Amino acid sequence: MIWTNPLAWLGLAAIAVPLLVHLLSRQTSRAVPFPTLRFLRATPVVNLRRRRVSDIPLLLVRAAIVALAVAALAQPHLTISSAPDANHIAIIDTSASVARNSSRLIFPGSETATRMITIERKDLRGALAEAATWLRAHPGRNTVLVVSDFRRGTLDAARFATLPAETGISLLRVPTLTEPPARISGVSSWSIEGLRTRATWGGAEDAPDIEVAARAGDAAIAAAIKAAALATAPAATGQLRPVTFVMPASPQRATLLASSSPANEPWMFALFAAMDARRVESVRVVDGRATVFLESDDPATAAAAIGEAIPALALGPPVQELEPMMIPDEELRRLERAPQPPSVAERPSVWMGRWFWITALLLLAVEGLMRRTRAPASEAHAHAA
Amino acid sequence: MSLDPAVVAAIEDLEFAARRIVESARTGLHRSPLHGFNAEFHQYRAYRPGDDLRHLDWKLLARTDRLYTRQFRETTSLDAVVVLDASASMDFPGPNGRGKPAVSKFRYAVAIGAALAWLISSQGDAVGLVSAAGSDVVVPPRRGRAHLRALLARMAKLTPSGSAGIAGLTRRAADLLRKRGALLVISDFYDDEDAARREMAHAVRRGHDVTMLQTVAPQEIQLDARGAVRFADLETGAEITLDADAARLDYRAALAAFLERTRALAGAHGIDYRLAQTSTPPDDLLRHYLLRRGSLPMAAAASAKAGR
Repeated sequence: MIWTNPLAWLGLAAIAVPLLVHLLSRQTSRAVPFPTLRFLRATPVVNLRRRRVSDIPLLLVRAAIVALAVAALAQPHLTISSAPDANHIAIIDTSASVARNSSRLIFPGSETATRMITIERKDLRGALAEAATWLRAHPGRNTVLVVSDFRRGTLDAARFATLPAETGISLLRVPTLTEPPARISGVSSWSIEGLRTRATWGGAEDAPDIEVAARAGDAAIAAAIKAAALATAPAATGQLRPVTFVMPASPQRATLLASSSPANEPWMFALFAAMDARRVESVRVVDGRATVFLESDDPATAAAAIGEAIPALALGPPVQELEPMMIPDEELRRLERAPQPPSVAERPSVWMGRWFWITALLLLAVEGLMRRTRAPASEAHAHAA
Repeated sequence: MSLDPAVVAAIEDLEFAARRIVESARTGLHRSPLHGFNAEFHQYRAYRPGDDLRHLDWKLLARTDRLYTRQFRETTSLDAVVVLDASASMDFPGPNGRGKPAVSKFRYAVAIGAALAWLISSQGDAVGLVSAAGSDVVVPPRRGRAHLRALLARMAKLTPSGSAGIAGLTRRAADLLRKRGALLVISDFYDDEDAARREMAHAVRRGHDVTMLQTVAPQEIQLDARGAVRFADLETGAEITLDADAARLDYRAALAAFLERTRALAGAHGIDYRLAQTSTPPDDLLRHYLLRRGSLPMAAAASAKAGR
């Protein structure tokens, strides 16, 4: 039995009411018309003033009525099953970047699961919404496993917030699909000669110094940026000037822009000046790091912007860090959580309050009968002439 | 099926209630033991099987060796007076306004008295009424349906009040009977016991057939009040405060002793006595009363006298 409104038990203090009624009601005598007093012998008044509870059965019934009402208000629930269901929902990212054999993984804890449900979708957000709908209809000790390579922008804490609070979250990273390197035409002509480092993008006949495994899209651009920046890093200086390039479609763009402040370092101004205004919206500071907000998502434009930026940075300290392509493991660990037992309201249970009310009503009827049958002569003999 | 006392008490038409009680009580009775005993010899006729052997003329049988049955003609019948106690103590228990209405001793006594009056009158006997409700109510015994209706109407208008004075009422009733008759005293007898005993004995000595129907209510016998109670005497208004739980046993013993004294008084003077509890169906009470009267010495004596 579980009480979902235990504060109602404070109402048990109301039992004092019938007790007081029984105590106080005996302190005053009632005038009872009676045929003759010749057979009645007076008893000492002191006995009448002694406080004692009379008619204990009636008092007990009244106290029971109060107690039952209080218990009903405390919302009693009788749980039908002591062990709630343990459902596992595996959401498998089927986007092209994820290794094809991910769906054949054996998930931890799946052998003890009541039900194992697999959702295979390219759209992780949609899959999470689908899982949330199912979980709300099936409360239990549930867990959601997400199998993905966790590219940035695919998931965040807000998406997981749609799941029931007690649902466990387990995130399993799988390797990114290794595909033949894609050629990015916009970067193929890019060459940084001043640093004696040659980053060649494009045709295989150019024997590139850096080969980037990437596919089309902003992630590929980000990978290219990182690779290019690392390639241009002068090994000798050791001075860090990290720069982040933010594409217009980046999911963090609005957040970064909101938390940014104007550029405040001369080299940042130099960086901005070295870049074509058509490619760069602004250069601002986010968490002490220069952040370049690009104008276009077009890879060629982005590559050109990076191409302009790197020489400017090469004059000074190297670029050390760029926006990562994947959600870091630390962030994934923060998102994970263990499953909790469902709240009482969601557990399969029977509300027992109605039976308490019914019993209280029955006792109320019994109390009425007792009052009638035990009605002192004062009432049975009431003289209303 | 017996009549519900509460139902009978609730019937406004007293004549109807009386007739209903009597008709119900008569079930199983072959003749009324209250029938008049002042009969005179009319004629002889040949004995037929089934005739009452008490009416067989044994002397004639001895002389003639033939069986003859004596037949009588009732010239006068019973004069009876119903003495109805309308003191305030009879108005108990009063209505409590809840559930089944309580039958007061007075309403019960009125129903019984009306039934007896109806029974007596329907047999051609004279019936009267003596009571006291504020002022004395005296209806001399007469015969006839019109008289009965007037008597019942008078009875229906009675409202209990004041003190009993059952002794005085008995004397008034005895005085109303110019010849030997029947006194039917319906009361709780909460009165001066000595005076009541004196008047009852006096009535018996005058040759009247006295019946005492002592009316009590179950609530009165049980004293089911609880806790501290201030009892108020219905007649005198005096009050006494006591713990009903503590006083109950003594009260019951005292009341039982009083009832026993009253019964003993009746037995000592040859008075027909019956305890009339208001919970007893009135027709049952009347039936048992009439059946018992059939075996009373007085009834046998009356029959013997009629046969002389």
